[in-house]
Amino acid sequence: MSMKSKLSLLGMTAIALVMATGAHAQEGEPIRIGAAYPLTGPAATNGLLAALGHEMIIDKINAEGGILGRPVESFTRDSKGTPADATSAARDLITLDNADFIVGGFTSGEGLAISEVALQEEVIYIAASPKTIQMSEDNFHKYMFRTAANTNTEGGSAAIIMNDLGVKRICTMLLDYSYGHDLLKGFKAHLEELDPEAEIVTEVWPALNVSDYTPYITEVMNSDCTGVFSGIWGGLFVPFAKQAASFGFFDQKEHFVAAGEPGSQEIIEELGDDMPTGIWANSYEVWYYPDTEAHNKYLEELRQRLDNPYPPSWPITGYMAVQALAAGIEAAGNTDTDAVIDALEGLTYESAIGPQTIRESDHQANRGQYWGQIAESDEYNFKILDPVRYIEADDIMD
Amino acid sequence: MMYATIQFLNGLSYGLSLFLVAAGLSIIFGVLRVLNFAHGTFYMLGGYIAYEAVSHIGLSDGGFWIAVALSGLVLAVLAAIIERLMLRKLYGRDEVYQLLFTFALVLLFSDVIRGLWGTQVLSISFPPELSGAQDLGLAYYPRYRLFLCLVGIVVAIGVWFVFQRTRWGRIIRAATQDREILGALGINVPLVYLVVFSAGAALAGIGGALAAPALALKPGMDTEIIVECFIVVIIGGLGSLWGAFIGAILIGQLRSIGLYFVPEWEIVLVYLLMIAVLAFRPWGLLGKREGE
Repeated sequence: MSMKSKLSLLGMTAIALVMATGAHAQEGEPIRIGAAYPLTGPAATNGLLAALGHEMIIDKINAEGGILGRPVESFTRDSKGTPADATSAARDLITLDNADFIVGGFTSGEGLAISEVALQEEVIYIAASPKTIQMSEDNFHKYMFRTAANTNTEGGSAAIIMNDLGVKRICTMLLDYSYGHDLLKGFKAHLEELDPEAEIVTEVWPALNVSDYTPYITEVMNSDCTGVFSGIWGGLFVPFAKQAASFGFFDQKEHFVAAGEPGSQEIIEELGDDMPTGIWANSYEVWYYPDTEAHNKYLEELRQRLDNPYPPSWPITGYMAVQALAAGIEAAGNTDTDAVIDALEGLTYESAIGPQTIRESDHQANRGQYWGQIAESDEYNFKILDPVRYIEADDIMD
Repeated sequence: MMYATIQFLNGLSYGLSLFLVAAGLSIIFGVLRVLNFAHGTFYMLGGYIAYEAVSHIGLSDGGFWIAVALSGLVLAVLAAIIERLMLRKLYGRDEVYQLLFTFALVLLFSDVIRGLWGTQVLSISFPPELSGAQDLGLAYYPRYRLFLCLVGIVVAIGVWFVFQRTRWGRIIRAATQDREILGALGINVPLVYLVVFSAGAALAGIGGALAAPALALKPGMDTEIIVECFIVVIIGGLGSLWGAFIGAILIGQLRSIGLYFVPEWEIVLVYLLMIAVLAFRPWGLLGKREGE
């Protein structure tokens, strides 16, 4: 390269830099958002997808001109699925990455841990998927907001399904840790309101780490209940369903209502023919419902990213958390923590699955629940949810 | 009655599949004096190898059985390589080195498995020959789980037969007593060690492959099974084949029958038994007191 062309290149670079910083100064400093999701460990299957949803929405916001005209800079750290690692991830996001806001979390334990850091550091935290009601009750504080449903909503919506099925004698199969016990609380409270005669006759409590559910399956089959409410979540449902089916469980128990998102595309595809037809199961998101513009646009982005026509359900959790935060900052007009808290309280924001409102009292979004009955499909080589029901959260958040 | 029968069979089938893994752990300790932390990892690898094989050759027309045999074979070869190249250098050194080495294998292979197969839960369907339920007169019971019971019993008798009635068995038993004298008698002791380690690993691999349809493949299954195996051999007695057999069946039954009698406490029962054994008979039910 000659001296002259070197100089002209330098000159052009300089002009470009000046123009860039000029534009920058107009837009202001980037808004820094930190995300903590499990990227390694057993929870990474879900965490990586939630982080993908997070990345998608950040890119979309930046492509559309940022928030308040300012670009968004995102930092993601690995919460590894444990409260201890979630704590250090959240702390590093705030102190090392200088994040103005944090989002994320996957398990209930992670949610409580990140929320605690948010309180100490006085930074807004939007819980993307942790559902434990403890975050909204005993451990509630003003910096915590939640775009995920809580265990009351999930348990309550299961009670609505169970009641609509007309079940009077119920068995429960919930996992013996906070999520399972919180779910039962929500389920019981709303079932009593719906049908005082309905009764839980048998409760079994497998530990979170058991791999053989057969003793519990046998126990429930020996009970005279006609409907079963389970909270065996995510991938844990796979061995459970196979073991139960080999005992003829789903033929004997007429009604089965499965919380913990076993109705997600991921689990349905993993189980294939072993996914029990006729049971009711929930999911964070269903790619064939609802058929709205916002949802279809979201799905289009997701399909492109993953090169998969039947996208998984988990990315929506990371996506919606940032949608709520961005709407809150826009409404506040600046990034001041107290101003954004004020703006988020009572805010209705447009999400990929329609408008959501965050109530003032406990910062809980009215995130409803997608439930559906597992049915054979003529169109696909996996089963589908048919019909799909969206159960509104407004009456079942407490 | 029917209910109790089913719970008994649940405990038996779970216990006997646990035995396949615990037996190898116990035998390896008996002969090599190495507490193999990586035994659960061998079990896990066996399951994932069977999954991979089945996804290529399918389940029907004997595909599942080929996959199971392949798991055993791969694990036998892998274990032989590990023993020959690495573990062998640690015999006679402080036990801590052996523990650290086998623990390193746990960490290494759990990352390898994550890299190759990801972290989602995977499963194999039941082989078509053994799907469905069998009428036992008193109750219907899944055929595959009955088959697991049978395998456990056949392996127990088979291993016992090899130990007690064959030349190889005599050599292995002699190796547990005094390896120096055995070597002086012209026996190739390093080869004995290699074969025992390799066979134990193959048993764990087959155990993992057979467990895959009944349970599931997931990260963390290696540490879950190794903890249960340690409990089995603590109860039964480290180094004892029948100790492992009885320990495994006791654990299976405590979980299922325990749920019947004292629901909410069934998990604790196993640990209570372990504590009782450690307190009153620390060498295990069928183990030998050190120095005896």
